[in-house]
Order: sequence, then C-alpha cells, then structure tokens
Amino acid sequence: MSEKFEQLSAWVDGEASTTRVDDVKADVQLQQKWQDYHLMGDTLRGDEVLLTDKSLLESIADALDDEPTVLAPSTKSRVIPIWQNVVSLGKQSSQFAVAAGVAAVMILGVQNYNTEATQPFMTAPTSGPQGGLAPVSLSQSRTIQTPEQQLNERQALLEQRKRINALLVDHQQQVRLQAAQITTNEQSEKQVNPD
Amino acid sequence: MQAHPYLLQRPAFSVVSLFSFFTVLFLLYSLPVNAQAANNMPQATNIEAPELLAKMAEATNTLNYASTLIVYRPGAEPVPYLWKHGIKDDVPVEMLSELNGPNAKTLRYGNQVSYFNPDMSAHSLLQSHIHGPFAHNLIRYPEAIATAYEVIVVGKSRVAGNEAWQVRVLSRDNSRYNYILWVDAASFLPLKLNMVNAKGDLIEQVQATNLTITDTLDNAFVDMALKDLPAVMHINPPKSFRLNWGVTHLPLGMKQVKRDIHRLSITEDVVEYILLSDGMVDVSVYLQKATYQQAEDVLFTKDAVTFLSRVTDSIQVSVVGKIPPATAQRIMQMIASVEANDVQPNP
Repeated sequence: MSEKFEQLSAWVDGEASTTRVDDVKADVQLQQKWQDYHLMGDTLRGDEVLLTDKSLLESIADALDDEPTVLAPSTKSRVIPIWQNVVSLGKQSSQFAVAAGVAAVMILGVQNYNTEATQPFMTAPTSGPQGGLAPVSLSQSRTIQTPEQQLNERQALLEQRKRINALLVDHQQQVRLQAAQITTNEQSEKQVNPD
Repeated sequence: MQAHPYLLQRPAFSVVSLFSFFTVLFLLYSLPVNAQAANNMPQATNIEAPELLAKMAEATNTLNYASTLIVYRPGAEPVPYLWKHGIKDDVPVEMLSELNGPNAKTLRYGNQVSYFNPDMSAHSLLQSHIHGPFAHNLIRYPEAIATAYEVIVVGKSRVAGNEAWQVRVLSRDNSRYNYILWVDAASFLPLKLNMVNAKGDLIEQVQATNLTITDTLDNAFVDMALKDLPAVMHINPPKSFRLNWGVTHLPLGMKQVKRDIHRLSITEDVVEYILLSDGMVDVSVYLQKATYQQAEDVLFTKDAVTFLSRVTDSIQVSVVGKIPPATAQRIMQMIASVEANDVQPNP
C-alpha cells in the first residue's frame, strides 16, 4: 500500500515512477492522494493554493465545532450546582448588579472611544492630500504667487528632475561598466592563484 | 458538606478534559507529520545549493541556448528581451537585444562587448559578459554573492513549461532585497528570478517564456566576425585624486569596488563617487556641490531602483541602487569624512 503511494508521490514530483495515468484513473484512493500531494507541494512552495475540495476545511471546522460542545456541558452541569450551594441568592443578585455596572461602563467607554476615534478622520482629508501627493516637489506651500515666482518654482523643479535623472543615468552606466570589470578582475585573480 | 459533591465530580471532569486535550494534540500533530512526509519525498532526489549554483554557472557559460526574457516591474511596462549564447570556435559569443522599441542590441565576442544603441554611436568595451536581466554573479560566479546571501534549494515547480528547481537567495542581514530563482532542472539554465522585499512583495521579475538549447551554434553568430565589430574603447583611468570621505560602516557582504571623480554625462556636473557592491546589486554614492536649496530629503523608487538624496551644508549626497529605502538611509548615515591617508584609489 505504502509502496503504491510512494510511487505516486515520485510521479507527482516528476521522478521516474511505475505509476501510470490509468492506475490513478482506476483507483479512487490514488486520486485522493494525487490531490493531497499536489496541495502539499503547492503549500510548501508558497504557490497560491486553490481549495476546490472543501472536505479538508469542513473536517477542520467540524473538529472545532465539536471541541467546545465537549467542554461546555461538563463545566455547566457540574459547576453551577455547587455555585448555587455556596453562594446565597442575595449575594448572587448583587454580583449581577456589579456585572451590569461593568457592562454599562464598557458601553459608555466604547462610545466615548468611538467618537474620539472618528473625529480626526472627519477633519483629516482637508489637509491630507497635499503632503501625500508630491514627495519630490520643492515646496508644498499654496500661497498666492506672482507668475514670475511660479515660473521660478517650475524652473527649479525641472532643474531638480534633471539632476536626479543625471544621477540615475550615471548610476546605470557605472553599474554596466563595473559589473563586467569586477568579474574580469576575479577571473584574472583566479588565474593567478588557482586555489 | 459542600466540598463532597465537588470532589466526586472532579475526576469525571478531568477525564473529559484529558480526552479533549489529546484530541487537540492529535489534530495538531497529524498536520506536520503529513507535511514532513511530503517534504521527504523530493529529498530523495534533492540537490545541494552549491552544486546547483555550480551547474548553473557551467551551463550559462558553456551551452548553446536562446531564451526570451520578460522583465517586469510593478507599475511599469514589461520589457521583453532576446538572449542568446553560444560557443564559436571555442570562444563564447553572446547577444542581448530588446524586442520592443528601438533595436538596442549588445553583442559579445570573447571578452569584447559591443553596444549598438540608438542614442549613442556604436562602441566596444573589454568585458567578460553582457550585463543582462539576470543578476550576473548569481548565474555566472555564485561565489561572489556567498558572504551577503544565503542560498537554499526549496523544491521543484514548473516554469516556462519546464520542470525547475526553486531556490531562495536570502540577504543574510535582511538589509537587502531577497530573491527567488527558478533553474531549469534539465539544462540548469535560469528560467525566472523574482526580487522581493522583506514582506514578499514583488519588486522586479525576470521570466523566461521560451528556452531553446541546441547542439550547434545559433545562426545569428555564424557570420559574426571580430573585424566587423566597432573598435574597443579604452577608458582612461582617472587622474590622481583625493576623496576625504567614505562610507564607514557597510551592510554585511558589501564592498567598496570603485571610487573616483567624474562628470555626469547629462549635466556635466563634477561628482565624487563611490561604488559599492555585494555581488548581486551595486549601489552608487555621489557627493556634489549644491548651489540650490533642498528643504527635504528626496526619496523614491523607480524601476526597482531606490534614489535618496539630501542637501546639507551646500553639499548634495545621493545614494542610488536596488536596495530597500531603509538601507539607503543607513548607508547615507554612515557617510563621514575620513583621513586622506585611509583613502586608497580603486582597489
């Protein structure tokens, strides 16, 4: 049995194997394994995994569903009777009161928090986009300018673009030149000391 | 007695909890065991990273092949290339041409590389290979990247219709981009290279769409003759100069490979220059006089290249290279003036 799966696994990995397409077509168990192996392979390689068969997810979900139902009745059915024996009715009701108080505070707190959190969101967009749009620009001030100033600013921006472009182009040239020189150096070094 | 019923019920409770505990344990353990089983299978025919890299270097440098490559950077147009290599009368010949736009072409005959670009006159340089889309040291001289990067063979997958080994090339100190490389399992030629940041987002991708390996030399090389290629241009070594600054602390595996003073071809500005390299990527550091004001740092990434520049005391410092912006910042912070004695011309 395990030999059969091993051969299938080798086939899935593209190794020489005795498994043939007809074997898999005829064997439902092999078909299931075929799918599992590919799924595992894809997951390990970090490829995008498409789960067409939901049985795995369902079995995990079922297992999770079962878990609390085993624990929950056991705690309820055993603890609550003791609790009622130990704690008097009056004390119990006072605890409910405390719980209710905590809940009320929580709701208030959450409401408070929410209003505080939303306020900056409402005011943010009026000043937001200015800073975010132009990281390369020289000036972000929007004061009224004379046409001459505008021209100067545009000129400065163009100058800056030109300077940046000159550096980017030079970097490209240096990389192209140097990349090959490094390797010629290495080759000559290798020829000098072959160790 | 109130404690009595509690004690009686206690064992029943723990049996249930024990049972559920083991169920959880079983669920937890069954998954990794399966994964391990799957992991062991390809290991039977696994290959160690150094062996794989050595075979790739040999294949790249010795086989007759032709490959169509697409270079893709998110946010930009994909750029297609045709890359051919062969051995003509025991001399390696190579060709790289851009398939879109003006016909930019690079030819190599032995150690002479000729550039045919529409924006400059044809010329040749003495170089050992063409600087193509694949990181040249990775595919040709893998030992050059060993100090800065760790190479791990991950497994097999299918790329460009071929079965391929998948390899991770990881920056040892996480200060540079990481790479995922796919190598043809049959010929050991590179098929795909992804450059990703620490989060795994794609920065640059080189993908072969077609790979042909032939026994005989490609027709493109048959009529190729050294006498028809443009004359070799010798670059004059820079005249004596002194740089009284340096990068005091470099990321792991990065070395200073060049320092000089030259003029930028576009603006003709004079710059003091240091080139750093870790084998995979090259980083340029420029110092130049600034006659202009620049209130804020300029930082952007274009075509996978990060550009960072800052003006202080009317000196503009710029760091350019295919490195994460945080690393460019760190390199800039490490620029300091050094004693002129410590400065050596090109090592």
